[in-house]
Amino acid sequence: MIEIENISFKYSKRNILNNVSLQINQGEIVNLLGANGCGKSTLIKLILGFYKAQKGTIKLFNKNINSYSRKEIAKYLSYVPQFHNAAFPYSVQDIVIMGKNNMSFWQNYSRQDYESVDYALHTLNIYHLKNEDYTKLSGGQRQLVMVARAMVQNSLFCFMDEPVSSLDYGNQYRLLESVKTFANKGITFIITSHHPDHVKYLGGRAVLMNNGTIFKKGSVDEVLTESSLYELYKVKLNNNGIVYAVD
Amino acid sequence: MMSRFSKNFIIIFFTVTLLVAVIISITLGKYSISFIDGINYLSAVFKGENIADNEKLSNIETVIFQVRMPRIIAALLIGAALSVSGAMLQSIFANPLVSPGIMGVLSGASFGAAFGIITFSSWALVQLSTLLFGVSALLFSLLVAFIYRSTSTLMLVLGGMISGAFFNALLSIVKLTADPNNDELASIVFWLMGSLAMIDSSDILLKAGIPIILLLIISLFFGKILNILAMGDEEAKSLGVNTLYYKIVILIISTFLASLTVVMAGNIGWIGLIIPHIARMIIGPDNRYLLTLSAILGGLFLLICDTFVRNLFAYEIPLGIITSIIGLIVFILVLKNSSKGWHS
Repeated sequence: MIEIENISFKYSKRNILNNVSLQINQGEIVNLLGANGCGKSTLIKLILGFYKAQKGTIKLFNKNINSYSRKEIAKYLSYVPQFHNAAFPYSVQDIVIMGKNNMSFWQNYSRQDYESVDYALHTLNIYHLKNEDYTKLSGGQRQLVMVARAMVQNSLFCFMDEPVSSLDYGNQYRLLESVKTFANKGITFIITSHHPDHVKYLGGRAVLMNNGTIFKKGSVDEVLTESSLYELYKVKLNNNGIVYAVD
Repeated sequence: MMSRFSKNFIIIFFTVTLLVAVIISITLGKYSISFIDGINYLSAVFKGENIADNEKLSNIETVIFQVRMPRIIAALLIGAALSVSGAMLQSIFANPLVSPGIMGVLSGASFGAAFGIITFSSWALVQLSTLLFGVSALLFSLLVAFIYRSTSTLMLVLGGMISGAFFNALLSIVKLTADPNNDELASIVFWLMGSLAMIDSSDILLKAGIPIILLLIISLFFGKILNILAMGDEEAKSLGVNTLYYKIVILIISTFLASLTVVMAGNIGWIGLIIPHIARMIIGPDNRYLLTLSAILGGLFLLICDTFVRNLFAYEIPLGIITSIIGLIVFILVLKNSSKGWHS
């Protein structure tokens, strides 16, 4: 369980997050929605410890997250970035195996570690890319490789920053389907999204953010109403959920 | 992409090449040792004959063990140290254009050497001063980064530039004040161009060589961590790596490696930049193999350059000049395949 209590975060005098509180329970899917710049990604990065909040605390299983070592945090939390590229031409296998970092400094990867890489690549239908140069893949393929790495990391909580942003229509839903499968196995997902329809497809909980605060949270069906979507994006939807007017 | 088997094969292949190069280099020099002489000498050693009685054989022994072997070992260690230092820095900065000079280390060490030459009379103190100022340059650049509470790549590189510029300015002051009449200035300039000519006349090979060997062995264990660090800070943190701790440890190791090479042979350029590149083109970016191959290729490259320097000209020209010239030519040739080496 992750408890975020009254977090505030400033970056060069600009308030990014104001008094945000949120509880994330094990096994649920938490969808973070909000306009560009509302603080979704920052919230994720604060929980992962990339930045430190000026106010408030984040607790992981009732202990302040700052009291965990990096290695312990990686055991509980994994991260799929929105964009990523490598400076050097690593193979897909080289990248995905990095998810396994629970052995000691002196140890090398084991045969089982490589098998878990193969399994993750098969699950996401990208096994044929195993020996390809990661830097030469398309943005969408790289995004899937990042998801595979998070699978190999096999942590309890998985944070995904717009994981479908570069994927084609079919792969978007295939990825959402794998998220559902893993959620059923007890993995917790915290996903930022710009697509209310994806959020409805995934189900779980929706958290709507605006100007660095959470203004609505609850089950997806409760929260994702026409009026709240209007509040969020200033767009009007018809009965079929299709946008007919933009303010 | 190649299999682990072929990567191991490449490493074995270049190790054998290196051994052959060492044997050839032993036989080359101003005092010629023919193949037959070598065989005679070896058979005498194995038969347990008294070599001191035979003038020719004892000359061979002196040339090989007192003159050539120390230089060959020094060339191998310096080449390996600079290449591994460069490869590690390129990974932690996630940038293929980084070289051991990046943190101002070589400027600091060069200033230390020059300062030592005009201040102290003993070589041991000059060497100590070289090492101390190499490490000071690193600390200075880290200080700049810490003032702004950031160890981001950009801040570290800027810190290194500031530190390097500072020590270059100090070096100019030392050169200005050096007395041109009693060879001080000449020896500073010669030192800064890099040379292995000093190796045979001092015990520096042991004093600097053993730390280099130890640091090289430790470095080889960092392959896995370096791969993760090369993904960038946030990535590495989310994969469970304490980036601050490992960056500093790796910076310290590579600084010591680079400074120790300056202690042994002055300023030898280019190797730390181009050898990791070439190694990456051959074996790929996985540091678990790249560091080993960089060490082998660096040693091989410097050995070849030094063998040229020893034999080609009547007057020995500084090694640093040759590594730069040969390095540039090799680099231009391999740049043709640059797309294999990095991603723009």
